[in-house]
Amino acid sequence: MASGLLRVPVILGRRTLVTSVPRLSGVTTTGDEVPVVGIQVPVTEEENSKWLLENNPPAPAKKGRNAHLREKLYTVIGNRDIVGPGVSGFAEYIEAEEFPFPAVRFMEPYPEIMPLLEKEKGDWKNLSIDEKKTLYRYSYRQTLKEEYTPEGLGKRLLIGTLFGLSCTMIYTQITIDYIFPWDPRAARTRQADWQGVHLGKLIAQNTSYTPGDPYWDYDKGEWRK
Amino acid sequence: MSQWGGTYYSMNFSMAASLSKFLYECIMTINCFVLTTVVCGLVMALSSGRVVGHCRKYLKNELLEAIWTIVPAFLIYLIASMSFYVLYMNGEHKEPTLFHSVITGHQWYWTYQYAMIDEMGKFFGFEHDSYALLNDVPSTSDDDTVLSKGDTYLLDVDAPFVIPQGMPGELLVTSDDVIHSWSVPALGITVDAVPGRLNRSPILASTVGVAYGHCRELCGVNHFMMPICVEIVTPATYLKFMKLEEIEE
Repeated sequence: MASGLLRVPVILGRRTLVTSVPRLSGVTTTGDEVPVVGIQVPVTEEENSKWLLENNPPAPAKKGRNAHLREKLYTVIGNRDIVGPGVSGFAEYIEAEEFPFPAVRFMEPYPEIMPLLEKEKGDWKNLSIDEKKTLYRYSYRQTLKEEYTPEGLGKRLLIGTLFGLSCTMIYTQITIDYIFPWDPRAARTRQADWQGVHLGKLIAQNTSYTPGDPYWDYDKGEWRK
Repeated sequence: MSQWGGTYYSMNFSMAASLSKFLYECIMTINCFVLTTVVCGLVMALSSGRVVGHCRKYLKNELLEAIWTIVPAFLIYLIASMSFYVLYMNGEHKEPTLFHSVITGHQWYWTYQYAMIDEMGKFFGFEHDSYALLNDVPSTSDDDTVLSKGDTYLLDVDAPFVIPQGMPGELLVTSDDVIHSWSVPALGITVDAVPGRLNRSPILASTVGVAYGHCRELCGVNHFMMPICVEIVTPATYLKFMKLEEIEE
């Protein structure tokens, strides 16, 4: 076995992966420290075997209220406690506004939290704020505030819209500045005196809805002085 | 003719164009209603909290599904009924047709043939070509395709197509070489010019003036250089034009 890459516990002769529950580490958005669990460090084969023997995940409980469920769902949820029916009775961790209580806890029991779980059985007034926060993070992934923060979909929509609009405007201006002057025959028609006579023609021909230009003298064919 | 920066319909010279404009306005009204409703619904669904937050309102909501099936069907029925009305009104031929014209598309100019029988039973007919005015400086001494001051580049022609105001007529459009399309939006007419085939279209201009258009079917390198200019004149002027008499300005 390669040294220090994967610790695979052997349970009843079957190979099972160590739980797939994500281990949070570092600092959350609320600024709390979350205990770092499950760091893998390079070790030798002997130490690895010793660790496996010592820290073999316990077998699912044969007694108790949910013993039959634990045996069946071990490969799905690991050693996480089943705390309710959840959504449609499946043992999954789902965070949703309309289903606020997931079926399983978020984390598996780890050695550092065992004393806290015992303390939790007593009076909650004896728990400090940090202990309460740790217990919360043991059962849930996010606080309600973290769950309800918007994902910023509207901002993405605005970015896309403004990007498309600006591309169109840049393309239009490049066309006006560089493509239109390409044909020299049309350049004369864009001059002011030509445009003035053109406007007079439009009015005389009844071609367009135009009120005319108040500064153009249509009788003389020149700008008013 | 629309001006630079214009995004709306320009002046109409016939009932066909006015009906098309009316249809456009009705459909745009419905479109704005639908757009506003859908955008408001989307914003309401996505704005507060996570996306899954309001699933309870939208999952298995039979009333909502019924509304968004029935209302669009009703709107489509409205649009279809209006557009069928406009379609058949535009295709109606008013009898008797008092003037006939044959329009032939070439690469890259138009030929107009006029035919009329006056009250005495005498037949008048002639034809002329219509080329775009392209040059601002004459290339030869007898060059006719020169823009005068105030002309529109790629819209004005040397010999416009003349039709009378208020007289129902018919256009027979064909082509000499490749497929063209004779189109004047202000008259509400677009007729394909297919070689070997005569396409018939009714025409009834209600106002005196000048209407412009373009070829609408890609017909070669100079497809953009075959504009259409229609001069709508009074019946008396049209009669003088057909008899090739002098017309007072």
